[in-house]
This record gives sequence, structure tokens and C-alpha cells, in this order.
Amino acid sequence: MSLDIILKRIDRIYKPGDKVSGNLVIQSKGSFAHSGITIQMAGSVTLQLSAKSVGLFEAFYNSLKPIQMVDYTTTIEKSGNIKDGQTEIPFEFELKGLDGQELYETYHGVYVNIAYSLKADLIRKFIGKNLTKTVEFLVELPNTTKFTPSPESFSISPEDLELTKKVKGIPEFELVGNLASNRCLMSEPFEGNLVLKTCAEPIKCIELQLIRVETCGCADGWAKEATEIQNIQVADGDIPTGLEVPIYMLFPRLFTCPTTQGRTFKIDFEVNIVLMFPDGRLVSKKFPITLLR
Amino acid sequence: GMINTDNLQWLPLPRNYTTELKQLHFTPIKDKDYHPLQPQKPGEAKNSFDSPVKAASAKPAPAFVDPLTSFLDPLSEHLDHPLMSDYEPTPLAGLGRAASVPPGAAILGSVEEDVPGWESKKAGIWSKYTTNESISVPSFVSGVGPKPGSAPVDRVKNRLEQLDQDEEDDGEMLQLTQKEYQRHIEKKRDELIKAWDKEKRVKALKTAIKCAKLLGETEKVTMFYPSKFVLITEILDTFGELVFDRIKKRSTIYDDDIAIPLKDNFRAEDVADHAKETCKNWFFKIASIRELLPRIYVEMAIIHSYRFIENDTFPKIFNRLARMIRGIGDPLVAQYARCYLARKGREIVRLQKDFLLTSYEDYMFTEKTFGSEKMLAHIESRKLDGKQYLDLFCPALDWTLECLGYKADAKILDSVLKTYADCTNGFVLQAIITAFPPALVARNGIEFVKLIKKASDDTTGKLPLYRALGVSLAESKPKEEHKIKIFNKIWTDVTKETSLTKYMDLAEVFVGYTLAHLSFKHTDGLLKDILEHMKEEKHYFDYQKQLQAIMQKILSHSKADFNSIFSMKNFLPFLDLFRGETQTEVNKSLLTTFNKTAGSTSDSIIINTMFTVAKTVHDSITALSFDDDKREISQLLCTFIQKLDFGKDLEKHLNFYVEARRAFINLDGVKVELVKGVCHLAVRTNIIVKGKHNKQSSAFVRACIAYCFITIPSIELLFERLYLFTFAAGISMMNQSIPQAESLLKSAVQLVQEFPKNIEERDGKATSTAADLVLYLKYFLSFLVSVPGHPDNGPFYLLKGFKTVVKEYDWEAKGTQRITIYTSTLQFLAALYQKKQPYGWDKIESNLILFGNTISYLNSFHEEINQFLTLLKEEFTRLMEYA
Amino acid sequence: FRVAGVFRSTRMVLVLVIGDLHIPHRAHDIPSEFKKLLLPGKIEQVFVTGNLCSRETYDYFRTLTSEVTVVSGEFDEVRKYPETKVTTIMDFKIGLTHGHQVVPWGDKDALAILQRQLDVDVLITGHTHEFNAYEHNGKFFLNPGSATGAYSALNPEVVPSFVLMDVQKSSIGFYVYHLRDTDVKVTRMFYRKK
Repeated sequence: MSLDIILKRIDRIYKPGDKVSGNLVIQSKGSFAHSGITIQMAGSVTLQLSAKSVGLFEAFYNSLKPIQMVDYTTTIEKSGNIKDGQTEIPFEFELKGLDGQELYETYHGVYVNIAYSLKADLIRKFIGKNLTKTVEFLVELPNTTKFTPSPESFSISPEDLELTKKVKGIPEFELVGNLASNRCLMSEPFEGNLVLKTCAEPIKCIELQLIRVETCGCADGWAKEATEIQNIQVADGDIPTGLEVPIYMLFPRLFTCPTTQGRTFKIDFEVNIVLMFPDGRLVSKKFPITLLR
Repeated sequence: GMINTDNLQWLPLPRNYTTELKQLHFTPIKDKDYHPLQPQKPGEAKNSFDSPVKAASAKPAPAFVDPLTSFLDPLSEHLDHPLMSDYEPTPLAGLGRAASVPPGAAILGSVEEDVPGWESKKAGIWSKYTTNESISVPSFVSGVGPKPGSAPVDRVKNRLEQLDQDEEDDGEMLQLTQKEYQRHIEKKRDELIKAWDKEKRVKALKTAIKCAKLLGETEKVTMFYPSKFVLITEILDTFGELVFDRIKKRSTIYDDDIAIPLKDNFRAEDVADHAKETCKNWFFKIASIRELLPRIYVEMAIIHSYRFIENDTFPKIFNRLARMIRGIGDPLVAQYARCYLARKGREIVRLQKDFLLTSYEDYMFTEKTFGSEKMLAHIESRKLDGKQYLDLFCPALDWTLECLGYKADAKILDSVLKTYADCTNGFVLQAIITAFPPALVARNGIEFVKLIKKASDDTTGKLPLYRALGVSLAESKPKEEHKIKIFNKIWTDVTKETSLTKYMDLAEVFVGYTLAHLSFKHTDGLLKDILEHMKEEKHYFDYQKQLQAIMQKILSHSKADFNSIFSMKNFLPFLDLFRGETQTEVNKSLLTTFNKTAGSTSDSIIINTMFTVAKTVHDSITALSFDDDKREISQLLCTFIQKLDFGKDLEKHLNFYVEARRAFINLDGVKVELVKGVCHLAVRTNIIVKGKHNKQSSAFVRACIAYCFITIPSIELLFERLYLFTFAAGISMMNQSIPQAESLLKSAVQLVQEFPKNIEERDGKATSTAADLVLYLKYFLSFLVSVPGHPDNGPFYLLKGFKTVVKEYDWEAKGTQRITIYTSTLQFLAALYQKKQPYGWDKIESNLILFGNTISYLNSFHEEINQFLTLLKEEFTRLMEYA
Repeated sequence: FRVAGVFRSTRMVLVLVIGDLHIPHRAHDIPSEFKKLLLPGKIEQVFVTGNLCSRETYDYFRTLTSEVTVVSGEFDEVRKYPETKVTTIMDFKIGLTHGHQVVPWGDKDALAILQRQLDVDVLITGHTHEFNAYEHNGKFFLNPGSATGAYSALNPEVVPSFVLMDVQKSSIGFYVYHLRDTDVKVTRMFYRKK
């Protein structure tokens, strides 16, 4: 005997106002009695502090309680009998927030988790174990504003004050380039190019790091954690100086979402351009970016 | 009771051959009238295939049925039916033809493979770039999953980076020889396929990534790198095919359980959504590979699969990848990555040039840094010198340029040359010359010569470059004003070359050039130069094959203009350089080419020279020669003899035949040809004098027949000998030379007497000659109808000899040959008995006139008839014994 | 041939009758005036009376149709072709032989014997290099002459000729092509089976 939730949309992606609909499918060998079948649509933001932050920030622990965005339950069958074989029971919910609560996009981060799910419960009448099934569905918020790119050029060299403070013994070099835009559509690749204009020593590689910055808390205090999502080489080995090398990266699905600002949390993204030397010395420059759907 | 035939007289029926046949009446056909072979007149409906509708309304067939124009095919026949007169082609009718080239075919390049592809390059690379050193290679121990107990940060990192994993846990390194390495890689390929079949797609992808990573390593056994590229890209290709097929299969739609697979020329919109998702996931996965080289290679490997997601984006993708390769620091690794991209481009976007131009320009940009201290150290650390290092790039460079040059226009070549301008790398220059269409190269001929002169001797050296240029130039025309200049500029360098092998290589190509674009005078000059190089210390002994190649060039380029060929003073000295078997082959080619020239030849210089050539060919025959060779040479010589034209100088022609007999004595086929040729001379004489010989013409004809009389007995083919004796006798009769005819016929009868019962055929089997001999004897009798008896030896002088031979010949005991021949003889006698024979010669008196209608003549006639009747009876009685 | 005759049985078959070419010994080639008329696709059968003499000439006929029947003349390679050949087209049995073995050459009675031996309606022979066509005892006898105008031992000057037979259900149309100087003269007649 099994219970399954089959959504109508294969990709399971919905936006606010959509009808989340599908079938509850019960497979049974022989008929049996039950005391009712319910189905629940839920969605919440859960926040978690990193191990090092716990204790430091206990003061604002309250602000870290989960935010319930959606929670609806319907009974789709009162007590009765399930016949032998396959039974399909249709269901439908409208995707909207509880009492004006804003909906956020599905996001699975390290410290912030935004998830939506459907949960079905079948309560057995006699001794049998109750049946439960949960499936996740994804929520994407359509972009409402018109996208305008905002290009950014850069130049990195040891003369850069910020850099010299951090790193010692970096050879003379000049790395220039530009980003096609620091406001980015998630569906489009992140693009740009760079040129190693001069470098006194051979380089090992140039990398492009994609970082997410998750912030939890409120005005009382906050915790901010930056974690690497992915790191890809733009150049591998000692490239000739003067040759324009493209920057090209796809935003990984599931691990990115639009830049989001909630009341008690924030999700931001940035990229780092990292120049590495064979002996481990490295120079890194950070570029905050805004992700848009 | 039985009739006693002994007292009956057998008499021939009187015949009148001229009046007895009622000739049928044939109606002449005038120009306009129909006959089946009438040439098609313009404007006439040709046939029903072209215009089926018109055929329906065609005029009624003419009373006289026209077998050709009414010859419709069985399907269009019904169009003549009245019910079919409204016939219109239905829309469906054209459908079969409409589905011509699939729209995707242009993109996928499945159309025509008009140039050799990558496949043809592989073997060459594999055999050139070898190593005796052992190659170390990771053993490819299968990777392990995320390490347990790691912090959340690591977990995420693990999920994203699992593809890059196990670069640390590659385990032990294997040390392999080149052969073992090949086997190892092939095994990896099998494993990849196996893993794939077991649905272990991530493992397959990991294998592909690991393979691609191997291509990043150039430090150890650098000389082997191009071969490594060949091997490893095979695995990547396999991976790409697996992914493509998998997604294509996922796109199969089921309609009531009937599988409808994606058609070959599908577009993105035909692809099922879940298949598209799968495909996108592949590309996302690959895009997250941390290292640049495997990320680029694996994407290139599965690049075909972009078709499932979107249409018409290949140009953008190829351009992006070409630029991304710039991020690969090692110039050799980068160039081979470009080569792989070009290979994929060849399959998908073969007319797209921009990404290839980028590839070329990037290489040229990189090459400029090769002289830097950094790069010199890099090269030295690989134990290579500069030339070796540049040479390693060649296969990749050649291929990239070949793709760029394929059907390229002048603009692209201009751009390529502009980028090359200050470069002196001969390898690159050679690749450019070879890659671009000869027409483009030839048009820029003088520029190329300049670039070659400037090219560094540290790479290819000048001669291979001149050769490459020469090949293009021989094929296509340079600018008119540069034709001679180009040649002179090149040849001043070539003639200085000390390596004769290299020199000869060039000589072959440029003989082609002078013949194609300059004059025979220039070719002659070149031959002189070649002779000077070859005669020194008799070098020609060592260069027979190369010299032969030059001869072939002359023969194939000269349009077989033998006047011009022989006008070259150095041609015959050149021909003298050949020795042994090559000499025979060259003379054969010369003769073959000559034989193929149109028309006949009367030029005495050509005839004399070619006669020497023919004689050389003939003299190559030895006792050990094969029959097939003899037959081939015999045919060559016969055709040669037929081609010669001595005009009205028949004496000279006969003298030639006398010489030819002496020269070609070893070949039966040629002797047959000569006899026939000489007979032809006699007939021509007869026609010239209109049958009325004068002293001179009569002497000439007799000389011709004497020639036959001497030559025929030397022919080994016996039946040919028999028929030629008879034929020559006929020619003698035609020319009123009866004694010669009699001698020839006597020779024939003598030959019959000693004719073997069996003849060995070509296959070695012995065949009985009886049937063919009977055929000949009947032919002989028919011929004899036209030959009168001998004034002194009597009217049946030859017949008597014939009778004796037939009677005494050792026929098969049970054979009926004698009966057949005796019966035919009676037919012969009956014809001879008539007042006027069915055929004969006007100028020759028949027996009736010769011997008169005398009693003695008639008696001897009856006697002959009776003798043959008796012989017949005897033969029947003899045969009865076997019944 | 019968296989190809499925739908032709109600129609006609064009047969080229040609021979005594003696190429290249007595003539270079078939006259170009004739060759112009002999285009591929029109003729379905070629009967060669013999003395082709060269392989090239045979190959030329093969370009006209794949159905080429050759009998042996005295100057063809011994045993390369058969001495006689009988073919059935529509209602007609047609015999083909060169005729140099007929005694005397071209003799009406001798040919009639051969015709009876082969049991044919039409007997085609060559060798005399002279066009000839006649009926004898209800049978038809044809000699197309020499298409190249090759001389014979009996006649140094021969007018080139060949014949085209248009074989229909029970009649044959004969078209005779003679080359006089450079003009092709065509004559025709019909023969009905009796």
C-alpha cells in the first residue's frame, strides 16, 4: 500500500497566485477503511546560525524563529473505504501568503532555508500505521522591474591600497577587465573579460569565485556568513600578457536565488576575482552583484 | 526394292544467280519522312516523361506508326485515355521529391564529405609523434563520495565540486610504454561505455573529465602529446555520442505505445520537455567544473547536444569557446584544444569561419611570445629545441587552418596573411598554403614567394614550402604578369639545393607548372636543369621513380601534343635516363599516351621517335614474360601501327611494315596486324588505279603479297594463319596476281594437312580443332568458286590437292567431318558448273572461258562429281560399321 | 529477353542489324553519319553478323543497349563468339550467322538449308559486304552489308549499310540505311509473317 502526490507541473515550479494542483495517488492491495485523508500546503523561512555564531548572538535568538509564509490544510476525504487497486483523488490550492505575508523564492542555503511543501496524511482506522507523504515544490517570483545592465570595469594591481595592506610580497602586475553587468539575470551567464597587462612573475591561475552572503537578525544585532557556491578557473597556467580572456559562468540552479531582503534575513551575492601564484600567494578582489530573475 | 544408284548420273541444276532472286521492293524515305533513327527535331515533344499533361492532348498518332515517339512508358500510357484528359498532378505527387535536404543537414554538415576529414590524419600523427620513454598515467581509481562528518560548508562545496574530486586520490601512477598507453586508453573507453550502459552517468562524466585533464599535462614525454590528443579525444567523442544518443532516446514520443523517435533533422521545439531538462542539466553540470581545461573539453565533447535546447546558437557557442581557450596557459595545450574545437566545427558549422580565425590569430599572438625568456625556459625544460617545439604544433595548426581554408574566400586569406605578415615560421606558412583553395593561393602567388624567401630555415626549410605552393600553382593560374617571375624566383632557390631528393621533388611539381602556365620552351629549360643535376655521377640510377613521375607529369599535362613534346631538345636525352623496368614502363606510358591522341600521325620525326619507343617496349619481352603482358604490349603496338599515316606514299608505308616486322618479330598479334595492313595497302592501290594496274602498281601489289607470303608462315596462331593465307590469296586475285594466289592457297592446303588435332587453349586445356577446321574448309571451298583452274595443271588442280588432304586427314574415327566437307564440295562443284559463277573477278577469266565448253572439260567435271559421290558413299559405308 | 518483354509484347522491338565492320584494319570506325543516328535508349537489341574485330566496337554497341548478340566472323578471335545464334522476338524466330562457311557464299539454296536447320522465320547473315533482302519459301533472308564499307576480297569498294528491324507482333518493318558519299539514304519495307 502506498501514497504519492503527483503534481501537474513536471518542473514543480509555481509563482504566487498559481493553482498548485495534482492528484493524490493511493495504491492498495485489497480494500481498507480509513478515518480521513488530509493534505497540507506549507512554506516557511528557517534561519540557522553557524557554529561559531551561536553563543555570540544569543541575545537576538528570538529574531531567528521561522517565518511561516503559507500553511493551509484541507480534508479531501472523510472516513471511508479505499478500494482495491489504484485510487486517484484530485486536489488544488491557491498559492498565496498567510494574511498578507510576503512570499520568498525557494532557496536552500547554509544559514537560510526557504522551502515549500505539500504533505498528505491518511489516518488508518484500525491498527494499521498512518500513511504520510511530503513533496517539495518550488516557488519563483516573477521579476516585476525592467532589467537594465550595469557594466563595471576594474583594474587590479599591488598599488591597490586595500590589497597591499592584506598581502605582502606580491610581484608587480596589472590585471584589468570589465564585467558585463553587476546586476545579473540568473537565467543568463555571468560575463566579462580580463587582460593580464603585465606581470613580473609567472601566474598559476585566475579564478572566479561565486559567493553568497547570508545575513540573519534585526536591528538589535546580526550575523553575516559568506560561503562559496562555486569556483571556476578563468585562466589556467601562465597566460600570455595582453591577451583578452573571457569571463563566463553559469549561475548554478538551486544554490542561487534573487538577491532577497526579508525583515530578519538577507541573501546577497558577490564574485571574487582571484589571481594565484604557484607558491600559494594570491590576490583577490570582490565585486558585489545583484541577482534578478 | 532398292534403287540402283550406280547407273544414275548426278547433274547440277542450272542456275541463274543474277535473276533468280526476287529482290523485295524497298520504298525510299525522304528527308521529312519518319524512320526510327530520325534525329530529334527541336520543338517536337520529346517523350511523355517531360509533359504528361500535354501528352493527353497530343495529336492523334500519324497513320504510319512512329515507333519511337509513341514509345511511352507503361504508366503514362493511360494518359491517352479520354477519361484521363483532365489529369492534373495531385499535390501528393510531388511530395516524394520535395523532401530533399533536411533543414538540419546544413548545420550538422551531413551533406557532402568532399575533403579528407580528421580520420585520415590520425594514423599520420600516431606514427610521427612517438616515444620510447614510459608515459606515466593515473590508474583512474574510481572516486569516493563526500567525506563523512564534514561541516555544512564542506557539504555544499562537496556537492558542487564532486565532479572535480579525486584529483588527489588518483592513486598510483602507471608507467606505460606507448603501446600499453594506447591499450590503457582504449580500455578506459570500454569502461566508459560500460559505466554508461549501467546507468552510471556520473562515473562516465568523471571519466571524461579525467581524460580531459590528462591533456593538460605536457611536461613529461612532450613529443608524444599529439598522439595523446588523438587517443584521448576519441574517448571524449564517445562520451559526446553517448550523451547525444541518450537525450535523443529520451525524446522518443509514445503514441498508443508506438514509439515515434525524434527525426534526424529535429529542431529544439520537437524535443520533449523532460529530455530538454536532462540536456540542460548536463550543461549545468559541466559548467560547474572547476578546472578550465576539462570544462572546455567536455563541453566541446557534448556540443552537438545544444541542438536539443535551442536552435541556431552554434555560431555564438563556437565563438565563446574559441575565446575561452585563451585562458589555457600552456600554448601547446591551447592549440590542441583549438584543434578539437575545429573538429567539432567541421561536423556542425563547417562554413563558419570567425571562430577559426580567432583560433588562428590567438595562436599567432601566442607564438610571438615563444622567444621570451620564460618560454625558452619552458621549452628547454621539455628537452626540446625550438624547431621540435614548433613542429609539435603542426597537426593541430594544420587542421585548424584546413578548416579555416575550406571553401574560404579572398577576404579570409587576406586577413590570415595580414596576421602572418612578420612571422617567419615555415610550418604556419606551409599550413596556410596547403589549407586554402589553390585558386586563392595562386592569385597571391608572388606574395607567397616573398613570404617563403623570408621564412626561417629553422622550421621547414624553403623547399617544402615551394613544393606546397607549386602544387597549388599547378592546379590554378597565378596572375598573368607574375607567371614567369614566380617561376624564376623559385627556381633560383631550388637549383641551388644540394639534396637531390628534395630537388627532384620540386622538379616534378614545377614541370607541371611550366606545362600548365608557361611554354614547352620553359619545360625544356627545366628538363635541361634536371639533366644537369642527374647526369652528374650518374645520379639518375638512383632517381628512376622520381624521373618517371616527371615523365608522367609531362604526359598528363601536355595534352598529348607530341609535336611539342618532341620539339623539346632535352626530351630525348631525358628519355635516355631511364633504365631497366622503369625504362619499359616509361616507354609504355609514352606509347599509351601517343595511342590515345586523336587522329593519325604523319610527321616523320614523331613516327621515327615513337618507333624507337615501340621497339624498346617490344624488346622488353623475354622468354619469361607473362602472356597477359605480351597481349598488352601486342595491343599497344598494333594500335601504334594503325595510327601512322604515310599519306599517298604507299611504298614508304610498305617499307615501314618491313621494318616493323623486323622490329616486332616476337609478337604474333603484331604480325597479324602487319599482314592485314599490307593487304590494305594492296587494296588501296587497286582503288587508286581503279582495278587497272600499270607496271609500277602491279609490281607494288606483288611486293605486298610477297610480304604476306613471307610473313604469314611465321605466325604461330594456326587458324589466323589459315585465314590470312586465304585472305591474301583473295587480295592477289583482286589484283590479278593468280600465281601468287595459288601459292598462298597451296600453303593453306599444306597447313591443313599438318594441322594438329588439338590446340592448347589459353587455360591450358586441349580442344579439338575439327569443328573449326571444317568451318575453314567450307570457307576455302566458297573462296575457290572465284578461282579459276590452272592453265597447265588443269581446272581442278587445287581441288585435287584439297580432296587428298581431306581424305587423308586423321579425322575422328566416328566423326562426320568428311561427309560435311564432301557435301559442301558438291555444292561448290554445282556452283562452278554454271555458265556464270555467283561471284568472281571481272578481270579474271572463269573456267568456262579458260577451258571452253568442251567435252573433255565437261567429262572431267563429271568425273570430279562422281569421285566425290564415291567418296561420300565410302564414308557412309565406313560409318555404318559404328552404327 | 522475355523478362523485359512483359509490357512490350503488345508493342514493338527495335533491333539493329549490323556487321562486317573490320575495325580497325579496313576502316577506322563506323561512319560518323551512322553514329549520329545510333543514340542510346532507342535500340533494344543489336545483332552483329560478325567481324567486329575489335573489343572497342563491341563496347560501343554495349553503350546502345545491354542486349548485344554477336556471331563469329572469320576475322574474329577463334571461338570468342558462337557460330550461330537463334533469338525469339514476338512471334518471330530469328537466326543469326556470319555466313563465311556457307558454300557458295550468299547462295539462296545453301542459306535455305541453313534456315531449315535452324528452323527460323528470319535468317540474318553477313560476309558478302552487300546489302540483300529477299523472301524465299515464305521465309525472310537478310544481309545488312558492311556498316563501315569495309572492302571484301571480292569487292574493293563497298557502300556502307546497316538495317534496323522494327519487330512488331506479326510483322517486321525493315529500315535500310545506306551511306552514299555523306548522305544517309533510308529505304523501308514491311514483311508480314505468312
